[in-house]
Amino acid sequence: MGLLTTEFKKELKNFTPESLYGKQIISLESNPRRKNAILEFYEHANRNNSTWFENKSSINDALHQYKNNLVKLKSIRTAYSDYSRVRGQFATFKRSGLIPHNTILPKNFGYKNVNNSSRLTNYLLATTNPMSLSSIESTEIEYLDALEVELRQNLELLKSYSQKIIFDSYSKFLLLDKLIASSDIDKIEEGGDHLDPKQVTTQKQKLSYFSKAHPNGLANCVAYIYKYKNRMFVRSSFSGSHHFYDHGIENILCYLGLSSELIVAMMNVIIDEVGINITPLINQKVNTTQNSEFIKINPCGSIVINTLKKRAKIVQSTKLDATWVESLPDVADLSSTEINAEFTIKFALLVNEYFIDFSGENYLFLTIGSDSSGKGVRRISKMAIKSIIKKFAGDISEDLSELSPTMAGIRASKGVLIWLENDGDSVKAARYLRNKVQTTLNNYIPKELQELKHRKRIRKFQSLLSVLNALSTNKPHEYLDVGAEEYKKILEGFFLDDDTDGWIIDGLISKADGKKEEIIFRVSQSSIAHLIQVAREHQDKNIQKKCKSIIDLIGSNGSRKMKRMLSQANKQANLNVKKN
Amino acid sequence: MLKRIDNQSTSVDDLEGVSDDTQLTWIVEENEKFWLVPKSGFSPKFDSEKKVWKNVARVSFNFPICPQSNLSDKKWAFLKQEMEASCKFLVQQEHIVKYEYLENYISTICGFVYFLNERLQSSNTKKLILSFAQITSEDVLDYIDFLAQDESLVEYLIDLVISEQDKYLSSGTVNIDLLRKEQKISDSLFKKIKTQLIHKVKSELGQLSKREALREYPNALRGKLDREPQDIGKISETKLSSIKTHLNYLFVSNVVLSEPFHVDVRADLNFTDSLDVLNKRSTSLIPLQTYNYIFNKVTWFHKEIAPCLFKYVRQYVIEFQNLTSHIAESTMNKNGKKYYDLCFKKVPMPEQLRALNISQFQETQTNLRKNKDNSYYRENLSILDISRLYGIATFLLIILYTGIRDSATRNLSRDCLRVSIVDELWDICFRKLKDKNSNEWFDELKPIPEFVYSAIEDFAFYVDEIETYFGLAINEEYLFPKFLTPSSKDEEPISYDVFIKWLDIFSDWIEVPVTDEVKRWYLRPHQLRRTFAVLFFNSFNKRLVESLSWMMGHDDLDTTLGYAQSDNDQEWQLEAKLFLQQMATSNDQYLVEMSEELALFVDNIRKKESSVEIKLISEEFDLHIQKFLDGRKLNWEVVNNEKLFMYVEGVEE
Repeated sequence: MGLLTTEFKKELKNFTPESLYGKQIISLESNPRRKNAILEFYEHANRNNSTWFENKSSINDALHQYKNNLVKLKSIRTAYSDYSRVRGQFATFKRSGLIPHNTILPKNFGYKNVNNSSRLTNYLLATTNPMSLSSIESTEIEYLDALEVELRQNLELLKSYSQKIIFDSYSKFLLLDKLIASSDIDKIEEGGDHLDPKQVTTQKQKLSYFSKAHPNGLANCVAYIYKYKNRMFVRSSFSGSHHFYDHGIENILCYLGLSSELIVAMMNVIIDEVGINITPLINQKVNTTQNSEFIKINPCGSIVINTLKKRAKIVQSTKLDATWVESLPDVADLSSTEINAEFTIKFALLVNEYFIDFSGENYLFLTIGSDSSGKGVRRISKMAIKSIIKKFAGDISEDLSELSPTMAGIRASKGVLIWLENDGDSVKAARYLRNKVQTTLNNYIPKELQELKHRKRIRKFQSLLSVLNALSTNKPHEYLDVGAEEYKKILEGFFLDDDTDGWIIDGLISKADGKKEEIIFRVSQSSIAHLIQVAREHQDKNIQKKCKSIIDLIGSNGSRKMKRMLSQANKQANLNVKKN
Repeated sequence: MLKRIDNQSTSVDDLEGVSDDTQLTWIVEENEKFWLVPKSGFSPKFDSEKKVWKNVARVSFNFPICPQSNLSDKKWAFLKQEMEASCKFLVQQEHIVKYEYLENYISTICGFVYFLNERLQSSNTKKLILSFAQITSEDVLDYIDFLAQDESLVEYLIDLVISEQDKYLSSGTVNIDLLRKEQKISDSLFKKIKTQLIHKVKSELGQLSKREALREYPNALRGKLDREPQDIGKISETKLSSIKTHLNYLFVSNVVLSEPFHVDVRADLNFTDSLDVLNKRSTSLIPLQTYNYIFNKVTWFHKEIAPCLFKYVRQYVIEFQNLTSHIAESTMNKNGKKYYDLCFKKVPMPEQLRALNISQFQETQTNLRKNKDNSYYRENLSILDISRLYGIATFLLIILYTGIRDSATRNLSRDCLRVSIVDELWDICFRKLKDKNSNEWFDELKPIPEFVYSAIEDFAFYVDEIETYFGLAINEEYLFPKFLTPSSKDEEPISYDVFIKWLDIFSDWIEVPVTDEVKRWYLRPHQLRRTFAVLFFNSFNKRLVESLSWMMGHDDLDTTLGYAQSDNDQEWQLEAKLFLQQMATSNDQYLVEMSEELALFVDNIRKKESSVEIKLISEEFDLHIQKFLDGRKLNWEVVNNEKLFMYVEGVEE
């Protein structure tokens, strides 16, 4: 991006046909995106044929050659974007009649081609790059385990660091009233020059209320901004304003609103928990908009976040269960590890409530600082997020800072981590990433990792096929070329494997003979609570299943009283989980 | 990435680079009637000896466009020119990626124009369609309606042919021209119903197709998902949708036509009723019992027969060379048979092979087999025949364990075996042919068990041996070369037709169990592919679809689900479950002798399978509990000093 330099214009003029130049400049000025691609095209076209623009077929040829050339020089992704820009430009020419209306513009590369080259290069927060899988010496299992541990560790480090920042800010924020009360706010304006008559330096000069040497210096600064500047520090000069820089603007502002660092820490916590993309998070609105994109706190304390997924043109809803129903806790009752997305959002809303009302902005994450509109508050920029998260990583450890984490990287890493933790369950990963399974597999989980899992499963299935085949013979173990003991082990392997629980395997175990089991369940408040707990936590899948079927039965066939008990017990159980 | 673009794929681009004329270098040769275009995935080569192009496909323009006239005739020059422009445009815009597919497009459009012309002629207007610009949206809609309509006429015609067999049937085939002339049926209509008509007449008369006649049980078992007999020859939904697509292409290429359309009918060609993958008619599933039988036989072949066969053939080849090395080629051509027999008698045959009734090395009297069905092979087998069966067994082994497409399997190269760099286990490498979006071949590596790896390796050596015997240059390119039909020496893999013929023979030879209706299952490769998917899907309890999708080489999980779901095949599922039960009980000594842990687990499953009845009672019920229990023993589970659960176990019915 950037404006067109005279040099660029000069060069463009050299190559661009006169008939197109005027329109070209107008287009580029309004949209300078990938301007170099356009220049490159003109250069390329002129090199091959100086009269390429004269008729429709030679224009077509020129575009074709340029397109073919691009693939050789650049990565398919860059080529795709470059050509898309050039093609778009010529479509504009076509519409405005500068080139024949029936000129054929060659299609762009198929989207599939572009998509096939995985988006992940060095994306994950791990030193072991999946791309170089072929060169690693460890076995696959070790590799996967190592990756899982490393991802978990790095994400955990970043998260706890962020939680600490939020915790510190929260404690500062709670101190605000106290701080203002302790300040000399009522006396500051008395003299008009913000000088404290009681505080005199050794040179017999009056000390400014804001001075670092003043015992209430910081409190006075904060209180002054709070009372007289609408809580915003807008670069205007007033007596003693230079003292503010001694305290550090950020340091003062963080008592009043969200600092950039705090915002990034908050985003990190939210992304880690619910996997919202970074861009919609920056643009997250508080009050409802045309696109019904908003945050709502239900009376029960749970939060509904409606996020706009721009490219998919859908609004996604996320629900966060409530831990702090009435209000946020005291600092003494809070430990930094308890800080989660729910707390973060409530905290942000609490701090920004005033600014949202005052400035008319509708963003969740507003930070104090001047911008072109002069409102005194603004959204955080992407660049700032990038540099701050880098700074975090640098503060945490050198290793982490070498990985240069980004918000998108954190999200992708967490997605992969979830995928790894659940033995390659792409549905769970997709649920976290809030994508379709297909998108998750195509764009987030590295193909190499997937292939490892695929191979493992396919090989398992292939040996299963052999066993199935062997079972119909008289001596299966001889058929499989293994000893009787080993054969038993293979069979056991399949029966005890959690993955292979389809009817093909279960069908091999002959049905029980006429045995019938009867369960009588005595429905009471506490027995349902126990039932839910067992259904969730019991080791034995079979018992879990039974409990679930009892719950189902209560839900569908139970009396109204029973159903009410069930729903209450359910809520209680959810709360318990949160607390633990 | 394990996908690698084959070098050949760049050939078309290279061609473009070399030639000065940047336009349309993909047309290798052009003349009035056809174009020669590169076969997808190949670079065309000019054979200077024979003066012909190799690796090219023909795109013909020689399709009838009105009664007694073809598109390539001179009077249609303008229309042909437009057609060519449209073709070029479609390729350039990548609507059609594989050049040979152009022919289908041309054929569809010609069929459409033929329909219009015929209608114009019958209405006695002298005008014909000379330019696409004359086409109106009504024309298109009429055509689509015409295609979609069911014809009551067919029934009438069948009755007519059957009742007047002397007139309309000559030596078993329908005299089509006569029928059409007498009944005054338009060409387009007749073309549409022809297949249906002929098929129905044949089935009425009880005639068999050539392939069916060879089978031991001619009426093969059809899965219920195969096309119903009355549907054969009807225009399928797939076909209709492809016709719509082609018509759409024609309207897309409007920009390049010198006389463009005045109407845009693309909106009329609504594709909403096009195919839903999941509702698509799927390939029949092989009954699990049959599947298992075939599986066993294939494995048996590789374990029992193949090693002896290899040993025997090697000995035979050495012996034969010793015997005939001093004999001139001309003598061999004349009196070869003598030496074959001599050699055959001299080399001792292993026990396992003798049981197969092998009577000669290669067939010297081909007419012996004439008018005999496939059961002949069980009585009289030659070594060459069994080599073919060996090929089929290897082929089946690969598909059984991998579910790869049959074309990919037939195109396997002889050095297709790899050790994976990912998990250091056994891999097979095949070239991916079916890829809608590109004109490229990929090398894809897919896992195979060690047993399959060594079986393929053995077979590859065996093929080398046979090729040496026939004096052919060892053709490294294909694992399944045309040695199966020694007369042809092309450098091509076995063709689908030959392959299917031998697959039928294989089915008869291994005697796939016959059902009650005296029918035999003659399997097809794609049925194995689908069965592979269904078995995978149901082994892993309908999870891990992405792994299956990877194995099957699908881009889209929906496609895989379309393959793998077997909800429409309830009957198949029931049969399969029954069969598994049988298998388990007949082998129970293995399932019984299991370790304690496993036994426990199996017990648990038994419990799960047994019916569980749940009754709910409320707290107030405590008082009446003893009455309710009817004297049975009651177990309580007490948590936090409160009775929470109670249960009665093991009630015998």
